[in-house]
Amino acid sequence: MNERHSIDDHFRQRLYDHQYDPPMHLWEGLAAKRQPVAAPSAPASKRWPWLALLVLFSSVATWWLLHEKPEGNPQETTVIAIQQNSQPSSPAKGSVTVPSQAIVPLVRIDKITSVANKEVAPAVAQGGKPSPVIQPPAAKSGNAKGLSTSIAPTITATAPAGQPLTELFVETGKATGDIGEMGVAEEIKAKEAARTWSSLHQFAAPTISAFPFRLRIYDEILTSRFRQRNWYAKMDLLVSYDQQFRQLTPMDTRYANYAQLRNQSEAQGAAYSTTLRFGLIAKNGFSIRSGINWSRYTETATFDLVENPQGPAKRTNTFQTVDIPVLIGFERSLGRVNVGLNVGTYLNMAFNQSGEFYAPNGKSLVSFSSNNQDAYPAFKNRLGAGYYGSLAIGYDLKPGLELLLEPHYRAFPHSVTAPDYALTQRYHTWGVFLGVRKQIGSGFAIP
Amino acid sequence: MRAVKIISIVTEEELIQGCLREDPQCQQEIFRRYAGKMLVVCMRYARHHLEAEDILQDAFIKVYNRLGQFQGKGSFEGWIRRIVVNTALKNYDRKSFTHEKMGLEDREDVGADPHVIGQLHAEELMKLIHQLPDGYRVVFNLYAIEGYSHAEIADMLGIQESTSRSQLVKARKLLQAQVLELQKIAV
Repeated sequence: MNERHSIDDHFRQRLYDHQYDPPMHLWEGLAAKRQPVAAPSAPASKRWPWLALLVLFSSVATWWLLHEKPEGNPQETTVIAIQQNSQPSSPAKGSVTVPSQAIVPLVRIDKITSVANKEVAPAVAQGGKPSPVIQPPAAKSGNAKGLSTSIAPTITATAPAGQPLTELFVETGKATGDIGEMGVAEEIKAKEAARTWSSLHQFAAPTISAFPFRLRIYDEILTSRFRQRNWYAKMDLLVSYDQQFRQLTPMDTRYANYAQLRNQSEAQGAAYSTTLRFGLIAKNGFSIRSGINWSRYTETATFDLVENPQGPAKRTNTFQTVDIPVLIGFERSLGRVNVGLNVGTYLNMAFNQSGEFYAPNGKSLVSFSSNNQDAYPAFKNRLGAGYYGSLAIGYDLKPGLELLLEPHYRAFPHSVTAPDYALTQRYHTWGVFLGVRKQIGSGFAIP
Repeated sequence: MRAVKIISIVTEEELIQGCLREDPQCQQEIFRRYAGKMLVVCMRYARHHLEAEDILQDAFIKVYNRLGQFQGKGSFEGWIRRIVVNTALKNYDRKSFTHEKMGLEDREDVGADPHVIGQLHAEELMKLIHQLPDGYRVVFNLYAIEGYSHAEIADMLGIQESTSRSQLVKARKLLQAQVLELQKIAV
């Protein structure tokens, strides 16, 4: 039975061999898709998030390690005394030998490589393991021989591992009180101000060369009581209302009208951001910050479709980004007000969209929602790296807590659209973060 | 430009052999020769221009990858067209062919003036086709323009033959109604 209809024939005659100009602009994309995979390594855009995560975790791990307090375990302590006294003492575990007149830097020995000085041996042998015995080397003689003659009354005390040696030194001095007219603690305090790295160095260099140990000098010189805490950890929790700016550009002149149509039908709406950041701030004002940021942009689209009898329809399109900020900055305290500048990058981890826009024919709508399998994949899933700059103004509410106001500017230089979409779409935003900045802990020292 | 001139006199058989050797010039020449016509095919099936371009790219990737399977029994263009149509059909959900209703199903056949249809340009006919719902459009394309039978369409789309027939009838009614509207506007 011939079911053909005259309308069928009309359409077939007109359309079967109908053709457009060869769309050679598609050839490059097609050739690229057919390129064999040259290397198994992930493309740069896929490596960014992992790199960002690595930076984040490294920062957190570094901060955590610097704050970790070691457990007291004498057996693990490898500090022993350098006993070069003319009058051998009995170097029991944790003994401290203190000269009565010479308050000098301490020497810490991490590991015994050989025992050349016989007076050291008992200290190791008695406990079976190295014991935390400390002796300040001579201050004025400047060599090993000088140590032997300058050392006077000694005191001893048990030194738990992990306790800063200078603290032990001070406490011991207080306890015995027989190490001279001035107690050790007082003497340390008195001389603390006079100590400089240069003077210590002058003293230590010849002394160390005399010992067959691997020495770490200065390490305990500036222990927590004396060493200045030169880094601080802070956490920022911020929210922002942003003003967004969008640039729609046609890939070529054929899509100029389409770009115009979309610009006319879509209006920029509100944008919001929320950020949680952790920062390490040096005493000199240098800072490095990282964390996570979530942003949401909205656009209001108005569609005037012929088949819609109710008139123009409105839709709210949303775009959401999850980013990892990596920022460096400089801060300065002006009394209760703190001012800082931050610059850096926003590494985009995810870009999700929801909504509709006009199809290039201008007569139908296209869904681009990322959670809709049938939607047109007009947008990328990740945006790569963006730029960020801000001025941070903090006001001390109480010690360790600031009210923070941070005007900022952010831009993603790359288009958020897929490479084969007719238009490029770029965003940049400015806004003002408002939130709090809290100091975590009381600071720490990095030599 | 010279390379294009030289390659334009190469026969289809030589182009196919060149593509099998992964010669990029031959691949580009095949694209240049057939992509314009195949883009029209894609446009008839796709919901919009962007989707059509995607379909075209995917289809040509298949063409190059499966060129070794072309046995030369039919025309090369026909072989490419089948790949393009099959690629386009993968974008459609089976539900499209059963759940769509336009409110015109119970209308009488309005019988548009064939003379009016004959005067419409290809682009106008393309617009009419585009205004059809997905299911109607696909069946009409396959039956009326590509020339597939209902049995073949049912097999390709995984639907009943009767569904294909009813979709075709509804598509024709809708097209005729649209042509009548155009007629009224013209008058």
